[in-house]
Amino acid sequence: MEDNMSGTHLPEIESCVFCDEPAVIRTGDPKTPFCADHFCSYVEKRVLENVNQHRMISAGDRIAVGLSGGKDSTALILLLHGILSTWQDVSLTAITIDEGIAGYRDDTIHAAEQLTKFLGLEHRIISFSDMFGKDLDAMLVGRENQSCTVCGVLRRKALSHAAGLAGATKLATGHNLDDEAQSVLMNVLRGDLPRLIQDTSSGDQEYFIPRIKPLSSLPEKDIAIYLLVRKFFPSLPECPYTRFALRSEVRSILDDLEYHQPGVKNRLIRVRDEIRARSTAIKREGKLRICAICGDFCSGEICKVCKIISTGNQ
Amino acid sequence: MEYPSHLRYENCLILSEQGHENSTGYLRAEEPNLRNLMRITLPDQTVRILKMSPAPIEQILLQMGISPAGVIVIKNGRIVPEDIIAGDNDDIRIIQVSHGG
Repeated sequence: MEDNMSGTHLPEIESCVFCDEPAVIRTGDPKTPFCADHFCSYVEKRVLENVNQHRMISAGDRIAVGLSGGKDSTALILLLHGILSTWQDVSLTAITIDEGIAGYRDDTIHAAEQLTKFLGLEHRIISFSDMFGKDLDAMLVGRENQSCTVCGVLRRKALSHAAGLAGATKLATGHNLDDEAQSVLMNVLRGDLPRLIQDTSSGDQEYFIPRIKPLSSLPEKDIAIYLLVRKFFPSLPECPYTRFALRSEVRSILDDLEYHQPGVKNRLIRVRDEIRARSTAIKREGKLRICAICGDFCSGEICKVCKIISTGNQ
Repeated sequence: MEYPSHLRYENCLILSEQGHENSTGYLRAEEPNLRNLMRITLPDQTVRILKMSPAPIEQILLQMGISPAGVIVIKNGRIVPEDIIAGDNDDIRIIQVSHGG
């Protein structure tokens, strides 16, 4: 069809770079059109490359996947299940954290249960109520604007605890390229250099279960299309606390920037990695201490979890 | 960025912003002479019926204030890259990539 203003050709349909099937996406660098089947192969290859390049998984590993039931963790467990199906000596298990968010979490937990049943995987659900004595909704009364900070700290603790119970050697999370780029910008905006340089994948393995992010090289949009194509896209409600999140604003800013300046998210991550590589001396300044309340390892006198719990009880 | 005049929002005839289904049926019944319409279902399920020249979907999205980087486009039931054009009688569905959680 002709563009009636410029006379240039505009496609009504675009073919896959590898075959005559219609493209579902143009992605990668340079942008390349893929049909559904070739796009799935491309995604699976990208994840395998990321896993291998960063040596995320080794022989004998037991991988606990943080499975919320949402889009990213659904893709993560599907992809790992496929990749690891040929690895004889690596096992997979799923962990879901029930924060206790009315009108939201029940649906995602149900989706997670259905998926692990379909894949035949062991699945462990840990609730905030069991671990911390209260659900998130109760903890946030009067401090809703801290929802993501409170939830993030407690969820990390709950995931580590559950991974330990599951006998995991690695904890896999569904963070994608967009999440990583957003975190870089958020840490800069907060002026939080320690968190910017913190790399949980290579932390003190003697004290913490190492975290891996197999989807960190994939844009969020690629993940969503992968799930749509494979008919696993979960249609779930939005977290009611999202409106309080800085991340929502940063996501919107970065999406606009990425559209007009392609590659900006990748460049943010590259800068972060360069800063990390040059900041070994800063990392060593922080010694691990024992929390005076719970006895867990932390960087201060009292760990963040105990600070949050004690603030909520005042 | 300056768009060609036929893509400017004010030159699109927005026929309906009804909340849900049946917008096309309603228009067919009430406005039988209006054919060749584009139907766009937005992530919040709002349906817009547009009469406009064929245009890349990404440019239509930009005029609606939607970043093409943050959405998936379904054209006539098929997932398509957002630079594909849409025009007469096309049914476009926009899915938000991220919905927080």
